[in-house]
Amino acid sequence: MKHRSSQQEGFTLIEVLVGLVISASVIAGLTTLASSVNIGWSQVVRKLSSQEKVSTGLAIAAGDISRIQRIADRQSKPPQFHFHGQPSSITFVVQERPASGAKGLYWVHLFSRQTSSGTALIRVHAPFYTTDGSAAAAKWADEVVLSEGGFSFSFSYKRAHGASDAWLYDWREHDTLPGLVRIQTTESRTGAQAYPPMVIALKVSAEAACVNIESPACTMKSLGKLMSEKN
Amino acid sequence: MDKHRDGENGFTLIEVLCAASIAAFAIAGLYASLTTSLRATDRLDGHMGARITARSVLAELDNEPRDILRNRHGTSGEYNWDLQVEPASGDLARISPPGFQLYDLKLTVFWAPQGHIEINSVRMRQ
Repeated sequence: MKHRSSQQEGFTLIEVLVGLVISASVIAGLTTLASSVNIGWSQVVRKLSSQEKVSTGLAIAAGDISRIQRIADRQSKPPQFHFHGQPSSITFVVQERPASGAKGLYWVHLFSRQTSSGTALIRVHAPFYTTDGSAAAAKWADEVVLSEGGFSFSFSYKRAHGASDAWLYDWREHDTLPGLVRIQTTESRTGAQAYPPMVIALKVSAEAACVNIESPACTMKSLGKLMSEKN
Repeated sequence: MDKHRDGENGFTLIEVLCAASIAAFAIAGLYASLTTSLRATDRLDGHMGARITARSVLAELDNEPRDILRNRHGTSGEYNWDLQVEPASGDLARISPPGFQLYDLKLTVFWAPQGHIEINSVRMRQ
């Protein structure tokens, strides 16, 4: 044996096998550990990014909804507010934030759309013209994806001062604005609630129409209800 | 042995095993920090839900501006909330216009297993 090894300077089969077994088990152990770290890491990253998306999406939507302008459409009979609320979309008029680079009144339309990766909450806006103020005539632009991924969003509405009222999925009282708007976030895959529903109160700001307190578009005296013109 | 090593310039088994165990320790450390961050994202989830709940409770309160403010509590999904109302004291009380009363609100939202956030706000009522 000694003689042979000094002549050939190699390993015996047993040595090679033992070495192989040890290195194989060491490598296997390390690989399992490393891959579970990798899986866990991507899980953390996925969860954080979906949280971040939902949270910014909801914050932007809530910011918009709380600033809804009380502007009446005088052309329509009976008069109605510039506001449309459906379960999967909401359309209203706001004063755009100065930071957005757009000045003045804008229509804003928030809606959900099916995409390849699930459901997306989208925001588009269009300049609001008092002359032709209908949402149908709006030229939507500047599409922003507020949230995209495995979540679905739905809107519901509640009357002002209507604590015991039910949530409505379609807003049909066109002569008033809802007091509360609710956004429900569910997981698209399971339909389970992902986060508690976000309830947003519409800020009660002075209406431009109330420059003349007798104007039927000024709803300060009528509990938010638009009155028909008396003439 | 020495001669053997000079000729081949490789690692001994001991060296390989040492290196592997050091690597194992390093990965185990990573793994531990990963578990911590997984738990942290769960906590973050809880906080996010609690924040949304708190906001919603205050919004519902603002939708009833003629209601008398009083202590109340409720449940929204896995979140329990508790609202404590007290007439404001100190400097704040003095700035309220005649006929109006300023209230201090303390809203606490709890969720399992032991998360909670506390939000302080003020509201004015006639």
